Amino acid sequence: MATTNVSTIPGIGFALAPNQHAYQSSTSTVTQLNYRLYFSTYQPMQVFTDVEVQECVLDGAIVNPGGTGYVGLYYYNQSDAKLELKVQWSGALATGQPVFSNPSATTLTTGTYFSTIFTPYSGTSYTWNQRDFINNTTGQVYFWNPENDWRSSAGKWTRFYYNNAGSVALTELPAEILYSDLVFDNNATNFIAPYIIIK
Amino acid sequence: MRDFNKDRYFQDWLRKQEEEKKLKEERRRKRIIQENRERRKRHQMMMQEQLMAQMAAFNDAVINASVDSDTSTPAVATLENTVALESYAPKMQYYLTASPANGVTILGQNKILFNPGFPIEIYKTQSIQSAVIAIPTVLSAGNMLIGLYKYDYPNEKFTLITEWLGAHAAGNPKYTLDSPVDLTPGTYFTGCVCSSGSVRITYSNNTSMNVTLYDSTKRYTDQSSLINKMEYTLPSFPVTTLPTEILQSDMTIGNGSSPILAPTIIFE
Repeated sequence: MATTNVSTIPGIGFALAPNQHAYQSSTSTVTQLNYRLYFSTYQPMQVFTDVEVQECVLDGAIVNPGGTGYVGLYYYNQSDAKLELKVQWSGALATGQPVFSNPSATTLTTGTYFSTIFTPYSGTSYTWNQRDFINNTTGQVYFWNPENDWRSSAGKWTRFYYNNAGSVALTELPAEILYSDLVFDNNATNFIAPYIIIK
Repeated sequence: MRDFNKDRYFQDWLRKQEEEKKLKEERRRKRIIQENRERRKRHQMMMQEQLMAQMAAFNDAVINASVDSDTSTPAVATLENTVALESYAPKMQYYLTASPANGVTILGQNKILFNPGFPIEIYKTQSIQSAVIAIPTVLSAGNMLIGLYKYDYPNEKFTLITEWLGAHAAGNPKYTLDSPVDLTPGTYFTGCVCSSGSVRITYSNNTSMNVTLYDSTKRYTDQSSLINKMEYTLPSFPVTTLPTEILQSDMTIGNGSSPILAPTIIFE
């Protein structure tokens, strides 16, 4: 076992590296990416101190890409019950692991972040590797809200999404998303959100 | 001789009768108009409510249809939220199943094992008691000490919040908290160690449990930044109680082929 000591942990991301796809069992296609923003519940990024980000890498399983993709990193604001867009990237989608880079770095402050992606082109879909440990029978995440009693078996969610009103295509990532506008569900598709590389 | 006065009085009486009749008719007409207005208003409101209900049902159907248009398994449930989540506790179901194959090993008495893949995020101060601590073990003989540690970044240490003594059991034993525990916002990890006997515990594999650890010197291209195990070696053992704090610098972090599945909190 390779080990290393670190003096601090600036951030822990549930960001699975591209080479960690050994247990791909099948692929799933996600559509409606032009008006629906998916977030993976299992893939938050926890930041413990201010850190700068400049690049992001899309998970390495995009098939049939088309057009421009926009990646957003949202900060979870619990007190105001909303997600706030902190940084976004854009670039041509491609198979493999396309890297999007911004001209300058953005500082992330302490907190929890979730990433998402959208494309303005309707009808475009992306196929992602489905992983055994995050599909709807094997990978679930508990969120807890006493008011909603999410401790029940129904309180296990694999993803959540924002659906633009009237299913109208988005032209840009919303600056903020009210928590009340999010829908949690438990689905085998498990949209693989892009993960963020700190540079 | 004709009595004009009497005749005039009669005419006046007739006129008044006629006026009263008109007045009554006018009142009746107005009442009917008002009733019709109210009836229409009630009808409009009813129609509006029905329309709104139909629109809501339609929207739900559209949303559900959209969800189900994924080529994967249809969504089994959705929840629209009104209250922001207060905590986060991942628990891979993988934890409980045999696919991909898990392994079994003996939980040591000399190391407290943590799994960085199972942090518990608390966003709002809360007291919990009904949560249970679960850890996958197999037929065993012995006891475990399970600790809930809060990661204290500014001071670079893990602080013990509470601990439980868990007896061996097969399957996925759960240990209910004895008393409420106050959790303030922050990141928590559970860690476990065998306190007596020989407890056999489930371990995962390194291709499915890794998380990326960032610091100022490591990037994703550095494989050592992918971790799936954190452990603290006890200076003496076995122990009957867990250390109240563990310095970050004393915590060994690495990427192993058989990371132990540390206990997780399950809200149920």
